[in-house]
Amino acid sequence: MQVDVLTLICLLLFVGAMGKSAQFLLHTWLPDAMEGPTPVSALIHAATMVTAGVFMVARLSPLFELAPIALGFVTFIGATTAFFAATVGLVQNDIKRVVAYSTCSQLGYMFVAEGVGGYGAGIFHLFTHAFFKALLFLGAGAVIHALHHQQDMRRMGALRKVLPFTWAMMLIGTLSLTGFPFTSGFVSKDAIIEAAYATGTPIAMYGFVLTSVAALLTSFYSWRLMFLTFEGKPREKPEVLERAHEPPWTMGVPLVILAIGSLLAGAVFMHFFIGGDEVSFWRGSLVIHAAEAHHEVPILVMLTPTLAMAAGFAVAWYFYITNPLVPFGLAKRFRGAYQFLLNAWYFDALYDGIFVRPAKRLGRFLWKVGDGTIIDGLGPDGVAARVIDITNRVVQLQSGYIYHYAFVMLVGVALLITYFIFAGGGLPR
Amino acid sequence: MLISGLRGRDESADRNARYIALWTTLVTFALSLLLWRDFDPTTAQFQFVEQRAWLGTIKFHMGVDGISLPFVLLTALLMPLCILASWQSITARVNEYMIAFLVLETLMLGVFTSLDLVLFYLFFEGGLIPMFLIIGIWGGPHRVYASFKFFLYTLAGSLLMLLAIMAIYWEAGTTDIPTLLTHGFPPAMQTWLWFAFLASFAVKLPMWPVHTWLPDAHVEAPTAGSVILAGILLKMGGYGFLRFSIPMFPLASAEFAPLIFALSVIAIIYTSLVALAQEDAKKLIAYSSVAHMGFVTIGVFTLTIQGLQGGIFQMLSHGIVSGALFLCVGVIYDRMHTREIAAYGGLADRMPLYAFCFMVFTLANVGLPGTSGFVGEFLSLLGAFRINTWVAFLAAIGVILSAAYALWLYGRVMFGKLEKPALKYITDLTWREVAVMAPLVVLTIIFGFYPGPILDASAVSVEALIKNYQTALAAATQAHIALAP
Repeated sequence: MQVDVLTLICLLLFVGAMGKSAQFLLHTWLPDAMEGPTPVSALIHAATMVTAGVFMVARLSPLFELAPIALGFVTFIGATTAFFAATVGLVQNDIKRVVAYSTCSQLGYMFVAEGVGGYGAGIFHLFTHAFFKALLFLGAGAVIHALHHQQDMRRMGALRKVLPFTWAMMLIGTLSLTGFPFTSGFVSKDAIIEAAYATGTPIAMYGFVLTSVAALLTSFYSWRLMFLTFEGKPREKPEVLERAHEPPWTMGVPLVILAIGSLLAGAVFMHFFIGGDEVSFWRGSLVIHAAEAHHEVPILVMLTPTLAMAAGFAVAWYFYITNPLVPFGLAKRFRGAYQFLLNAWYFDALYDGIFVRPAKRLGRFLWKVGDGTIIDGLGPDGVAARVIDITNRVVQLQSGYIYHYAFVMLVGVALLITYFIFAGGGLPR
Repeated sequence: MLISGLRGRDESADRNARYIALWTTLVTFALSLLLWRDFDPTTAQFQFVEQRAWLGTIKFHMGVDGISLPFVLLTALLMPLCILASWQSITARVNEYMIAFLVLETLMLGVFTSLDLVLFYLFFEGGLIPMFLIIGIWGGPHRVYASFKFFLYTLAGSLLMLLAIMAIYWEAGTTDIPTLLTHGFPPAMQTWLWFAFLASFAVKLPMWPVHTWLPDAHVEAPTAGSVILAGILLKMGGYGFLRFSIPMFPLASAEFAPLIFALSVIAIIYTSLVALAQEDAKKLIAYSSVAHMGFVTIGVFTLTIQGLQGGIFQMLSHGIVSGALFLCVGVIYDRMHTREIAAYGGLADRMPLYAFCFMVFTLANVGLPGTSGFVGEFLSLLGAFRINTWVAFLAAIGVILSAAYALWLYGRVMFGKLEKPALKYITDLTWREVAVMAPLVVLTIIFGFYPGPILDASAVSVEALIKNYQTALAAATQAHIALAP
């Protein structure tokens, strides 16, 4: 297969973006990085640093525009990530991990937008995502703080009464993330899904379908998080709950600011990023497709994200409010699938098997056999050993017994005489 | 100016020996800085030339140019730090130890400044003796095996170089380096002379597959010995390529550059993987040295400005960084008397200063942007990319592997729970250790952000080197055309 240089450059650049923005195949670091302090997770792993990949692709959009194959790949990976991370988010029990996989998934949305040429929409989603994701992280941090470093949602429940403020903030974040109409998340996510549909190529349709399904899954796992944490029966020890408290104002004020952004930022800034003012706003810093600004899509497509959100909410309600035993039954019946999702499609184990273990084994082999047996064995150690062998034999010759020497002399003389008799000793005959 | 002449020897008590050694090396360092100040970076000529009659046509001829100056500075810088690092860890035969170090410094400076092949050979080989003694007397439990392996390996390589030097003498009638640099050797002779020099330099550097002496020597050598070994002795091989192989045998260098690339790429990937499997911290760093030297040889033999500058800078950076890493291992070895990685863990809690220093050097070893390691690796890869994309690609894999083994080492030593009872009362760096580490930390970061001073100092010489190389190649091609019927 021939690949032109531009496509190769764009693909390689995108691989860098994949690593930075935790896309499918190179995503495994992001959930593990949630071990860091929650504000760090909020700032770096949700809002700013991981979006560097998305930013780079948008910034280099003039380059990517010339490499349609690379753009298709961007869409493909983005859509796959959006779907994959959402499925994994369904079953996680650690509150921060749910939010982390959601970040992964939302970054996938941004790449889908960029892959279909909607760079403005991708950056717009980056912008709104920063508000609601930071809000969710800090909210989760407030819950964890209140419960003395408890991150397991199975130990939470019924916290709405104890932490009403945190609940309200998390609720706003969840609404925005799931795309409740007119929140920030709604406008930007809508723009992406519609752009994917409007583009119409097979790969864009793949993006459309997977992001729509992911929207449903997103809604489900977000509401699952809300219900498990704030509704139902308390599962934490009473003494911990008694000491649970709302965050101090230093933690509260940022939550309020982010909540306002989560609700309004999308509607307020929309016309800059993807609306009528986009040309004057971007000023040629990225590629804008003029036709894209007002694409006509069927009403059903426009409603898809909202429907998906409602469906996800309904299922979550049924699973965790009306019938809390259903999820356990399902997890038991589809044990394989549940474990598969819980272990994030076994990527960690897979990479451990493909890369980590073989590398260590190979290293050991090269060290012991390559260096030890072959190089040293044939080189210095081998030479030294041979020298000792030879000297040992030579030493044995010098036995000190007269009759040994006499015998050797006799043999020598016999050989010489034989030689002279038969060959004439080299003398001319 | 005769730097290496300024050397004090004193046979007094241990304390005096330490101070005399320290002051001597500090004065040498100050002189080397003066040398740098007065060095004229706008010419590729040899400067501060010193010439005396010696053995008939063989002259005592010394001087520096832009290629040797960085190495002179590096040597002079690392020496006082080494003396400080062995302040307390060496208690037996202090006099002799310090003498060995001062002799070693003299010889190493001689290697980098001599302008006569015989003189160079003398210093090059002479350096073996003090190092042999340092490993063999003040080394670890297997020191005798290690020191003999080191000695025989390098001696075997150098003998071929000696033969080559004799051949050069009979061919060119002189062993004066500036004269030889312009002497065009016949192509057939170039090939075997090039290989003879390669044998010597490849062992010294070391290149795969003649690297196996290095891990043993490092593990057994005392800390300061390892620092000198990694920081300076290895650079003599790289310097040799720059000073002799390329300018004197340009045709052979061009012809066999692919061989060097192949060996270097093998070295990078092979030894990085081996480093991953190590359980001994010092051995891990030793193998990582071999991998980093692979970048040097790749850079140098690309024969592009970027590659050559990268190679020189990488040698300098590696001298600072891997020397510092050996010092870091030495710090905990002095306290716990083991180099086994598994014996540590969670040190970051007890030793914050140490953790900081170790972190800077680990990141520089990985080649993180902002540290000196990045500049050298980046320039070498840049040069390699222009010559052969696959070499650059495979070498870049080594960067990933270096991140794996270096960060893994750091994680295992520094983080996790402080569980081992023996580590409960481990103490942080003393002022003396801080004095050793601080300059290296500062240099690692300064050179990472502002590599200019070193690159500027060597730029003109490197350009001249490339120009001569290209002229020689062009001349050879023309001769070839002229000879063709």
